[in-house]
Amino acid sequence: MDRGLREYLAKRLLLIVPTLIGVTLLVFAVTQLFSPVERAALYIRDPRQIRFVNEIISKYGLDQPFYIQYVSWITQVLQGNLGWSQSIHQPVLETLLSRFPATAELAIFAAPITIFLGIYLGKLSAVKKDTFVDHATRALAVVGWSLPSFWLGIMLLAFFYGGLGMFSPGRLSPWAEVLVRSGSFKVYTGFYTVDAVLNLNGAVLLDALSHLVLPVATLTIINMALIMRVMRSSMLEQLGKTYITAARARGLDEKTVINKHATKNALIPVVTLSGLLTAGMLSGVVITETIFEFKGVGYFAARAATQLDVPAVLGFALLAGIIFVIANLIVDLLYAYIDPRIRLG
Amino acid sequence: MKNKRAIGKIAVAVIVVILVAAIAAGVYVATRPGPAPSESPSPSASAKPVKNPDTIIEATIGEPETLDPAWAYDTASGEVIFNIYDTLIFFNRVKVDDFIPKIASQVPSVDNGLVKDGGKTIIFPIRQGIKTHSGGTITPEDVEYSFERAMIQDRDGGPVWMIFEPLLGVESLSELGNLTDPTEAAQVGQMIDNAVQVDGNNVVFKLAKPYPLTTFLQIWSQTWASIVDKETAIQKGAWPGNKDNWVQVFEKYHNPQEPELQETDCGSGPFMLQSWEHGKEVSLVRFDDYWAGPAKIKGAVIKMVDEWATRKLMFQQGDADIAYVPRQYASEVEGLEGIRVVKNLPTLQLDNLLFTFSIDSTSEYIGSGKLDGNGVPTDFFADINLRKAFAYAFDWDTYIKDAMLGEAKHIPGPIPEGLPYFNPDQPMYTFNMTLAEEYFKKAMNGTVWETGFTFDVLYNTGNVPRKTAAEIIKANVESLNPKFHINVRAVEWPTYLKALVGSKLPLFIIGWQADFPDPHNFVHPYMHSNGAYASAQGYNNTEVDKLIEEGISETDPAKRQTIYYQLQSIYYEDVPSVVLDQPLARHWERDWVQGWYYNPIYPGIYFYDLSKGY
Amino acid sequence: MTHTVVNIKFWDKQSPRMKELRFILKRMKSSPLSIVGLAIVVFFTLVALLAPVLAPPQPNRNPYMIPRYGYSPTPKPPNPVNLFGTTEGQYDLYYGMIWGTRAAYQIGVLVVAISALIGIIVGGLAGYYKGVFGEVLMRVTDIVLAFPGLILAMAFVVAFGPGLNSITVALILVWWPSYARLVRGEFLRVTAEDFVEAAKAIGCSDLRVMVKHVFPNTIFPLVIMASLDIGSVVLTAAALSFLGLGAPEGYADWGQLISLSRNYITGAPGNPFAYWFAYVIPGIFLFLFVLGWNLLGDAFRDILDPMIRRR
Repeated sequence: MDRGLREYLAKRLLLIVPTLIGVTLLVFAVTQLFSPVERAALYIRDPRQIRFVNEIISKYGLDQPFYIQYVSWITQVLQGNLGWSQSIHQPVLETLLSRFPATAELAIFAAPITIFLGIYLGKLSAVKKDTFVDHATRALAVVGWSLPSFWLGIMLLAFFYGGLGMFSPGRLSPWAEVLVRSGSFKVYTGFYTVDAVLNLNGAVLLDALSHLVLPVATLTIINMALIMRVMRSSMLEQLGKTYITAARARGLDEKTVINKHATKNALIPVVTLSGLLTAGMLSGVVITETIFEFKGVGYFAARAATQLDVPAVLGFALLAGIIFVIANLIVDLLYAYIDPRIRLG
Repeated sequence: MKNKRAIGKIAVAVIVVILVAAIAAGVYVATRPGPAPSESPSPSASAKPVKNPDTIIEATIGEPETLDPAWAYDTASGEVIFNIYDTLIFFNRVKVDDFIPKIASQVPSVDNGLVKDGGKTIIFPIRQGIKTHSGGTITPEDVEYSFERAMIQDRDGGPVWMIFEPLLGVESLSELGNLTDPTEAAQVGQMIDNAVQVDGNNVVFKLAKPYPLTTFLQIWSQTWASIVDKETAIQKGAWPGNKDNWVQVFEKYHNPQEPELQETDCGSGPFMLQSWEHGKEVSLVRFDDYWAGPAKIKGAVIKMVDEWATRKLMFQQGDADIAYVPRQYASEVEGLEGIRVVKNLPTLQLDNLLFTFSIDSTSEYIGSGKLDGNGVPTDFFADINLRKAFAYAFDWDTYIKDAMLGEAKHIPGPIPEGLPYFNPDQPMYTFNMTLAEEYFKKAMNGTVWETGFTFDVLYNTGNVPRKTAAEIIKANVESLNPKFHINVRAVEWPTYLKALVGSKLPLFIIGWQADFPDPHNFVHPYMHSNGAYASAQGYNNTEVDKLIEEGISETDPAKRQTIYYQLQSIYYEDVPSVVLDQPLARHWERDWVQGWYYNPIYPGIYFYDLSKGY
Repeated sequence: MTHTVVNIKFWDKQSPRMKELRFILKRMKSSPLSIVGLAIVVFFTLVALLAPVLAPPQPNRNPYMIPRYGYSPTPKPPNPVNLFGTTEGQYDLYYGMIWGTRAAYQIGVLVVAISALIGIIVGGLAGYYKGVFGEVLMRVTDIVLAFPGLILAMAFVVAFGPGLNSITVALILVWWPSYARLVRGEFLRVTAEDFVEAAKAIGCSDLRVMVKHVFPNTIFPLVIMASLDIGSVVLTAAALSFLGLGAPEGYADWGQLISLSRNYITGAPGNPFAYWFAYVIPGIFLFLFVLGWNLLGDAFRDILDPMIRRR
């Protein structure tokens, strides 16, 4: 790796710290909007516990000043302790680690499919601008983007699962879950597809894949338009540029003109967007996770947010911040790879 | 970057392959154990093949908070705990006032001499040979340890107050003395030690005052009285059982931030904890060496499925054997092939409309805070005429028919039907607009009728029956006088709690569920000045307080009846609150589930007696 | 022939802005998708404007609260009294659709307008002044963008108490960064142009340069983004309602109505589509509204984007 790249990498990785501090401070600021009693409500789920409100407030230090609470949280984090999540009844760190594979598995299948489909259709649409193909693909993509995700998800579930008995919710069927929990199946990564391959178990692999179909389909249908739209306009922009006309004039065949020159340059804004999209999926897609019982970090962050479970939301903010910075970093590196004109710095 | 087009083509090809594989997988999975169920109901009532014949799957909402018996107060936790732990005695199947011995070999009573000193000494002989999940046996020391640990832990907002009340006459550990002072701490420790002791093969409990025996046994049959295996618990970091340095013991083990035995299994019950995936499911597996013989089913899974549509589909497809069906969606499931429903199950639960006698002046729900038509004064509901007026304005028939689908009872309160000393002849409020109008006109010497009023009624978001109740009141009261204005608002639980605790709600609707099936557990929160609700309302009647305290120290059933009948009568006259309904529940299961029975005090499904088959 | 000559002379004399407008309209007519989008948007705008006529509200009542026709939970199918039927709790769906259009516009327009305003100010300042000040502003923007918007919005809504006002504020707080980024990028691009240098050289004040010279040239991407965002905002607000944080039950909000109906999607025994009206009707309204604005936004992009328009 050359020196310039190393310096650039180091600089960007250092950015993680201020970003994380910023994000967590922001979340903390929001929690200060709540009174101690409201925050105590997290611990008092049953009217029978109402008379213990004051004890609970002092026990968890809910009435202490903002900076004291923040500093004590930071010191704990630096010792590797992200606190206890009352809404999930587990230490926060453990929750994040155990829940992340579900979200990640979904993202790992959904993101590439969405991106590739988006790029392919965007390119197709741009090249055949104003033809039927163009209108049809744009229509399809826009329709997908306009659908409410929760509506689409439940419809798919009702049709395929309710109607045809295929693709049940959850990550695995009951028989597969029993198998996975028993001693004979070793869980390496928490990604059921990967683990099934590592355990050489074809049945579990197929089962895990079949459960991914509907949630991935939902995410793809909705997000594909995003990529497609940017790819299309970006391609059109490139195709209108003078160097393309020059290439054609030189006698290069259309295929090379499009693929070798235009596409490569058109990909730049698409790369940014894809990075953001993937980061977003990795940070959890609340609604898809809820409907399809794919309980990853998104689902838990949502629960924690509605119950004012501050340690959990903060832990989640840390995770999201880290994912975001890394995604940006990868995007920048890809930029440099695609277009050497872009100087890193 | 080489040939972009080739990459594009490869990508498409890969996607197509994955899609095909996935669809193939879907078809494959759908044809797995048992054929794919069909949607159209067939006229012949028989059976689809039983899915997952070795495991019972329950799909419900909400998830356990903890598996530590001394910490757990919510029913979701209780459901898991009472399957993996045993108590000394237990409810006899469907009964709430009759018991069978479990860890104990006999149920103590006056007749068999195990209850002495006028009810202040209760002796439990311990059964021999009960094995624990970790390979040990249950001894009297384990029993002593279980109760002492619970009393030491006594977390805020926990259930241990129910153990303190009979044994030491207090509600929490800190009432006994200063836990940081060595002398006092030692005294407190001594009290704990004396309250439960081992005597040979027996465990002896000493009570501070006489306490009704049945009530005592009811408390001792529930999860907070679970018997924990001492060795395993200590291994997992719980209190080591030392009694030398009480200051240190209390400092370390009293009221901790997190439960000690959060996810561990130190039990001896019919099932063992296999795994707990937070927010997703709890998985239990049969304990083959259970002292009363192994359960019929090999395993049980309690799944948390918050989304009704998903849960219903699982139930319909047979991927869930028992499901929680919210009342308002019953019509979606009723009559579905393969599903059985049991209706009209009496619960030990009440929903009430409560009045605040002394509203906090900073409340944002009282409008102007004065009786000028745009608000209400803080002592609005201190006027009994207004309380009666509102009571008579509630339309029970419409409410029970529409919001509760007819499955609720209208009772006088505050003791639910089915508990001892419930007075079936107690007069109660009924829907009567004429009387309502009369009382409104009398209120505050006629000024209320002239000036009118405005205030807010809050309900906790997501609670449909309570919202309907609020709207019925609004509609009926407003129809009497155009100057009467009531705003119905939905708020999240944290906001609701804050308003409730701060006595800011003029009128509020909330429910109560029995801790133990005794009238004391209902009169206290609704009528005792220190009660959970009455204290927030500012209701204070010294005669009532005295009666309640007498009632719980009286062992003679006849005398208790007199006391509680009197309390019910005062409840009607004083009307600090009105009972809106006592709900009737339903139980939904697949028709291949066998062996279920109903006990209103069970926190959930007791899997030991269940099996699957036709 | 004389007509044509006169016409050409006439149009040549029009200001560049008029020419621009005519060009836009002409381009629009040529794309069927744009026409569809425009038609849908016009339809919904009319419905929103005519709401009090189409569905007269009850006296002395917040017009956004849907009238109830009983208390029973089970939805009733379309009938002469309830044209679109009722949803859970017997709320009239027809009324909900009409006033829901208004509510959708309210939220969509408010959030987009205010987010854009904040974004213009923040992004404009950062893009014009560059340097440390600009960097700091952008880092703050990045931080807000780093956090998954839905979760942050949820926390805000719980803080302020559920309701459309809280959702509006929460969404504004989450949405402005993308506008700030866009405007900054545009400002950076435009301020590098010669005519801006010239304006500064003559001695125009910073404010004048920003408002009169730079800003008008950054409008198009803003307009495109705004029209596309109206749909997204309404969808996100609906998602928040779906998660239970939205308008209170009984409020005329499409997301709220879909949320009410989601428990009936699986139908009744023997008839899986028994309650189709409860979720299809609000779903279609929401979908069409968003679709219309998205198509319109796409059309604007095709027409206004200077890079591709003159092909």
